[in-house]
Amino acid sequence: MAPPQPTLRPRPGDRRRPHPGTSPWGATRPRARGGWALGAVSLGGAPGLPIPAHSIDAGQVAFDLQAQVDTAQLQADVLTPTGSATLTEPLGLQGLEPAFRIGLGRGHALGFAPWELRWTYAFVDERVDDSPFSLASSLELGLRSAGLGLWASHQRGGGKAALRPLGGVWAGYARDTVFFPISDDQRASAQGGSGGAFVEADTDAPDAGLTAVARLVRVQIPVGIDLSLRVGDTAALTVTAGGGWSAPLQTELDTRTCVDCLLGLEGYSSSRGWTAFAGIRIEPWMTPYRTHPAPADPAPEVSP
Amino acid sequence: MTPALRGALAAATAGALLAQARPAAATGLLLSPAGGLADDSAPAAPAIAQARALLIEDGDGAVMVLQGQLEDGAAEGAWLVPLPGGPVGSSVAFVDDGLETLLSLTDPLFRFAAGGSGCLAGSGCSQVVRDSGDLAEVREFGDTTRRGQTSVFPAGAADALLSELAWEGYALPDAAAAQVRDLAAQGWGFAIVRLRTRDDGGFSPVDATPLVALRTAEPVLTMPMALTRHSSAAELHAIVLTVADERRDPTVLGATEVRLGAPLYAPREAPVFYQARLRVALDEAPGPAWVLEYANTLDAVTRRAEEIGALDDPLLLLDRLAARGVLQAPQTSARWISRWRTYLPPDQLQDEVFAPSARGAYAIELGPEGWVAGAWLLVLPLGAWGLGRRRRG
Repeated sequence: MAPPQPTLRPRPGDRRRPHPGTSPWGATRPRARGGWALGAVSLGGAPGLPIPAHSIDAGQVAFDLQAQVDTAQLQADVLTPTGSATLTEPLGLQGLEPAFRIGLGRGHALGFAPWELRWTYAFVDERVDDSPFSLASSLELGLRSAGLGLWASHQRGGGKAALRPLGGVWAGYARDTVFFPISDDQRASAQGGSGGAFVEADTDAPDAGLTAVARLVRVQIPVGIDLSLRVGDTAALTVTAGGGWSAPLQTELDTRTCVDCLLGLEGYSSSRGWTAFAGIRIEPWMTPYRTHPAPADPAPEVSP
Repeated sequence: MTPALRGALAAATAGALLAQARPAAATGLLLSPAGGLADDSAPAAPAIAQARALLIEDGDGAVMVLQGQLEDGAAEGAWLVPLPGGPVGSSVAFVDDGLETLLSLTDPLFRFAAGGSGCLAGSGCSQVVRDSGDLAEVREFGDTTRRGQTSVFPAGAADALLSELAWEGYALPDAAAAQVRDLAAQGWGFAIVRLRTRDDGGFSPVDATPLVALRTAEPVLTMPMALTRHSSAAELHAIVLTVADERRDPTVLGATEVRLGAPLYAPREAPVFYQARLRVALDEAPGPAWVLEYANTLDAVTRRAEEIGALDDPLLLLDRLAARGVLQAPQTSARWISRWRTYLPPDQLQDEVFAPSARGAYAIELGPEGWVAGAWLLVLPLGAWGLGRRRRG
């Protein structure tokens, strides 16, 4: 005889509210609807945002606050009792988390953001090299994300203000819980589904929908421009803005739970999209090496 | 029980429907008395709304096991059953059960995740999707115990058949009578199964025709449905099982499959979702079509019965048909059973021929999939190539 199987039916004394129509293959609670949290764990405000490629000296600190709007969508293709539909969840607004970056010397810097670290290395540095631009690589590691970037920037101007075009290529992975709301005609309770203990009387429950863990790998190519204003002798207040293009490399949806659903998941994907970003940065004022005043020639010796 | 050789089957079936001008949907024609037979209280013009059939290729002939469900019940009438290729012999066999078991074992199967709810004891955490919906309706036939007299008419005996019906007080619509003559001219025979419902001095309606088995002369598996076209405004829900040496697919109507996806519903909703998706599959088909629900060997069906803990012998019906001499050739476990289902309006009803198919096994099994949840971690040392670069300053 087969052993008794666990059941979804609440046990006596179980105060948890039973999920209407909850599938047994998932235990994640739905969360309130909102944008993706991908950026919430990313350094510098959001994943894939460009950073200046030049270095900062050991011990110097930069502060970043950036946000990004991404038009890309996470999509779940579902079969409904009457046809098919696509559930979408926009990536939307990401970021708006503060981050700090501290120079480690020799081109290296380490950034800190909630739940994430970012290491950058300027291997071509217009600040200390006789180079017209800077190139840097970055590596991000977070609890639920990781990313790699290759960045370039070039500062023009000096004195009180400077313009700095910048851009790069970034690829990253993120994992987060996402929620797709469903329409009334996709609800089990509205389709004559059996109710019993698992269907709440209130079929307008706001949390009816598909909750899943999304794993997304994508590449992003951002370009932007910094306007850096000198503050004092060594600091700068930088305003940054720009845009870019993003494309998915891999999308996974698992650990699915669907509350009050009557759907079959046929596939899922994420779309390409355009991004726009903006932010502010407080950082050390950067003086390109090429603009350093050349040492004065020694006075010619005059023969007596 | 060894699923090796299974007796022989024989049989043929034939169907029947309405009388008068009342439309009916069924396999065959259901006739009501035209002229106030025994009791004026007898309800007129019942229709067959659902039909199930088991078609067996058996040596040089075929066996047809057939049953219809009446839309509103009937208290008196006759079931006119077309027999493709003509009958073998002059008797109709009545069988009690066994078809239910075969249908149950070829049902869509819902496999639960480990720890899911609803596992049947000994089921291996799976159960057939039969709890509710039309699947249950098509199988839960009502009272089929009242068996009437039967008459079998050989191929070409249309005049004798129509005379007999007229003598008994049944009036066929002109179009139906013309089609009876056409079918007879094509070599079809007919059987009349008279529904006797008067017991203990009163009429009581029956919900279904008897489950009858008839043997036909040609080894062609045909589901006779065209005759019903003239008399039904309703929709015919038909489910057909075929047993042959290979998978059988329909050749007259189209064939389609149900798209289900990975379940995003509670296990108990599986029947509702499946029924709805079956309708969608039929709606999305380019024309009238059958939905494939199962195709595999009888041996696979036996294994499935063990898996889900079925109590009945899965091949009970075949054994009984063999024991009664209806089935004649041995039914080996390597034979294939195929299952098709459809809903059709009367104007799309056609006699369907199920022909050999080279396609393979098929089963509908709902349940969680093994989604790959491999974590990606991009830790490529992209910037490492610059680490060795000497820096100035």
